[in-house]
Amino acid sequence: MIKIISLVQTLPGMVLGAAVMSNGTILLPLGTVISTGNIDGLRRCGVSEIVVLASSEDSAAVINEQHEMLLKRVERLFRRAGTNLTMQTLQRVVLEYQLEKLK
Amino acid sequence: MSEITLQMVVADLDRLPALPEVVLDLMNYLQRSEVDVGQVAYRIEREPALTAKLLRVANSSFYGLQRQVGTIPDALTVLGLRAAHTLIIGAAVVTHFQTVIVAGYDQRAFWLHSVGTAICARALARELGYNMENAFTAGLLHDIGRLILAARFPENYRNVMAYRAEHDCYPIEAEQEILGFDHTQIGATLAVRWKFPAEIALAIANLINPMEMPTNSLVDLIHVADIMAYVLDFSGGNEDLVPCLSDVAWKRLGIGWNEFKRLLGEVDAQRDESEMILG
Repeated sequence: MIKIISLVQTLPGMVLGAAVMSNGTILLPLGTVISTGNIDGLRRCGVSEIVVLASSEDSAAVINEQHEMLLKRVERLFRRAGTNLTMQTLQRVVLEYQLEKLK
Repeated sequence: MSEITLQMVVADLDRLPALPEVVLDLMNYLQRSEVDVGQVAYRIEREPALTAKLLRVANSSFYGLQRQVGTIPDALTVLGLRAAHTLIIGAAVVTHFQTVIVAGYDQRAFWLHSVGTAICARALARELGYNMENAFTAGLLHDIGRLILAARFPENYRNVMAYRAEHDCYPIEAEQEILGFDHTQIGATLAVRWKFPAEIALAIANLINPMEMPTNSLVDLIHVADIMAYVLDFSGGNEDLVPCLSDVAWKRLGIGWNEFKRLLGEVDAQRDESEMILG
């Protein structure tokens, strides 16, 4: 199954259920695992909606991959946080927020 | 390459193109407690680039209008004066600085983070009952000194970036190490020269050390807005680092972690606005 979602709702790791076209040109082919860079690129091209594989068909591996990417990104952004308690709490809250958004 | 001092950079600010008189006049007028839509429209229409941009935004799909808006008074009615105000500031400042060319510096990432911080600052200001327009402007300009350094002293700034990359440190630490001063001092000086409200200059100057400032100032708010924009990944740079959140500033603002999460969601939903301002 496929579904149409807005670009704002698109998350890295989602899989394209149809090619994204613009003026007859393929911007991204069917089956692309979407990256943050892809989302930025599509936004720049004025794309507002895309077709993705519906969550029932998302394999556990894809979901795990999304979690992994989020975790890595948050860890990367906080790599200088050290042992500061406020920063550790902030990092946890941000990760919680991102994971809730993923759901 | 010769060394530069803060005094040299400040003296050089005179050589930057000045913000158009029309824009300064408009910003001053919008500081009043009661403003007249006709007066605002008159001031905007004197600046053709701003007029075009505001009409484009009002007609964008974001507002989902049934009919085309063709005049500034109509656009102001559609957007609301408050939303128009922040868009005017954003569009004017960004358009102005787009004339400043910086080779080898990712200006798009710079503006994505700056506009992101402005939107975060506005959300925090709404939550806490601060002046939303001043918060937005301060957020937008909080790193402007960095762009000025990169544009006017490219060789020195390349050294700053090289040091940052080598040590994977905060950019501001690299600035202090290589230059002996940092971009916040330059941004604050520019805000004073442009006759922006004093609290904006103060917030820019104390971006990373808000704890040294008295409570209830815009300083704490901009400090947190900068951090919010990093955690929401507006610029998405691989080298980005979330600045260290000041415990003092955080407690003084008095936002709970659950409220903070809700604010992250609010700002996330407004991301498209950054594209409009940068457009």
